[in-house]
Amino acid sequence: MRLAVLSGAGVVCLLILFIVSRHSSSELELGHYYQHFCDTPGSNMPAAQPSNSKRLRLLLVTPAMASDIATLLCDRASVREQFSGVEVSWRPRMELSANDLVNENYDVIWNREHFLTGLLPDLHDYYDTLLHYDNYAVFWLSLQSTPVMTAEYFRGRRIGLLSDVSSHTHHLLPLRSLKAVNAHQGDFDPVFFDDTSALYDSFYRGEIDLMTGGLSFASEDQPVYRTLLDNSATAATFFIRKELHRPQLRCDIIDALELLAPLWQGIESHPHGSEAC
Amino acid sequence: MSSRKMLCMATGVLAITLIASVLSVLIAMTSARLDIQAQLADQLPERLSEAMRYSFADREVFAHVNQQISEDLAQVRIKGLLPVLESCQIRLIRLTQHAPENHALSADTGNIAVNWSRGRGIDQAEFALDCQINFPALIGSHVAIALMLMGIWCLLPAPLGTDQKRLSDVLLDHGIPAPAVQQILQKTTPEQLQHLIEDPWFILAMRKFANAEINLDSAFVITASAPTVSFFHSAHQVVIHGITIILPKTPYFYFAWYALQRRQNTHEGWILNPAVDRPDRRLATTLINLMERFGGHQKAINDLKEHGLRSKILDQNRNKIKEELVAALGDELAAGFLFETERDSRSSRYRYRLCCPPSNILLDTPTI
Repeated sequence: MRLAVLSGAGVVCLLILFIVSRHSSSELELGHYYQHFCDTPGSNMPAAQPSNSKRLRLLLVTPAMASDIATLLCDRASVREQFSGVEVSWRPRMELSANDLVNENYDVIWNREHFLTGLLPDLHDYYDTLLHYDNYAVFWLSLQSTPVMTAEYFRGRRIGLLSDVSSHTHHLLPLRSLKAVNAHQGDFDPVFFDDTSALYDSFYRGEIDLMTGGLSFASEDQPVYRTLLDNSATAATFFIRKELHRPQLRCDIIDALELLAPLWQGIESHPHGSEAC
Repeated sequence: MSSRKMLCMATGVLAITLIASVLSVLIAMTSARLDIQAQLADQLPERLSEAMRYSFADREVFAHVNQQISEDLAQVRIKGLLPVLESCQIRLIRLTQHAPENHALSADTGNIAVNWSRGRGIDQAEFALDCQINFPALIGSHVAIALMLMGIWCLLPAPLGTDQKRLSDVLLDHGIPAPAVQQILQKTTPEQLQHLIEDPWFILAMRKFANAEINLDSAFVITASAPTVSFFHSAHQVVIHGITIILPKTPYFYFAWYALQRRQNTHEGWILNPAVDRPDRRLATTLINLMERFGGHQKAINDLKEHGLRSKILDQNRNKIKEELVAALGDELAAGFLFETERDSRSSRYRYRLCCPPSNILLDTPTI
């Protein structure tokens, strides 16, 4: 009986111990990791502080070179004169709204012109073109054989696509090409990816048979077979707020964006109204 | 409490404190880890997905994300009903591509792993949770729990051994209720009880204890008492083997009168019953003296003076004495202090005396 009572008390104590010892954390609040900040030298305002008016905000379509662009701009005198810091963001472009454009939430925006004018027809009342690019070529790529533009070729093949419907190179153009050769849904095996890096990685690992890409895409280890899909794809354009009219600031921004040049290898860029640079 | 028992208690408290503390910390750490893991699993994949959406190379985004996550998770507020953990920090250890599946909680390292799907593979973020233990709260609360458990242990009756169980059954068979049996077992060793249980006076005393007529110590005093009968005339009570019996006045004085005769060993204690038709006035004298001296009933005294000692009255009082003693002691034990009888060869009448030897009769006034 003594043992039974003690066992009962032990079980109750264990239960109580279990209940009172359980710990939980206060609600975790993770920030958005699609932006990079830096403070301009001499600024005593933390860059991460949400003070949009005093920060130079760039909206790009890739995190490539983001920290280098921010650092370079933070060091420029023209930026220091007007801004306490620089924010380079690669927020998903489908999240960009007409409100963002009307309110001029971003100082520099990298996107296709037709997408932005779709959101805000009088875009040019708010933004100037900073850098314009020539059309570029998009190819079907394979590590196995040269792609053939027939429905028969695509039948049963695993085709890597970005799930982002605004992506020309990795979503719209390949689907348009497949439709053009009468390869319908079900004939091929589409594999959707959330990000370009995962798409490329899967391609290299042989998890997909085909994907699309520009001329700059290459593999160090093995040959990449190409077939032209579109020779005149519309490249994205850099826009800048009209209010940021100081030539030196525009020149410095163009200079910083040159860090992205390897991405548009072979595509000619045309600065607008910045001949002084 | 003996020093050995004290040492045993202290060891018990220490052991329970240690075990409960370890358990508590384990529960706290595991529950905190699971909670954080669930929260991270809920938020992190989306945050990473939007951060890496347009990345051409994981490495550059991972480096950036690593720094940002570390800042977000540098200080995590941990709460629990019993604040075993003081504060915690979460460190991002690594972001891995193509992690093994079903590896949510890294069992080997105790790290937190958050998996998410990317294309056809699984990526993984691995975090380390470092917490500081709140030792005052941990030790204080668990010492209290240990003391409580040890207190319960001490308050509960010890489990019965084989011998004790057998002896307990014997006591129960004698009609002694279980709670009283438990107390008796606590007060005696099995060896003592084995000896006592064969003593009918012990059984009688324990029944009286069980009926709350006496306490347990008095019951043991009764058991150990000498087999004597003591008379206290002023209170009209006899104490037999330590048990006090208050008799009605008149039977008491008849009893005392027999005892006096036996103690003085006059005619070896025998008193011949008077003939039915001839009351004995000589015998009545000593009884009248005894009653008058110690407050006997006047009516009984007058009756003796008027009619002398009559056989019928003598029989009635002996019967009353027997009735009272049997009620108090039971047939078997009362018998040793009641009357023995034999027929007188000369008169053919019966004569009576107390059974017990004269040396076992104690009178507060040995003579009249």
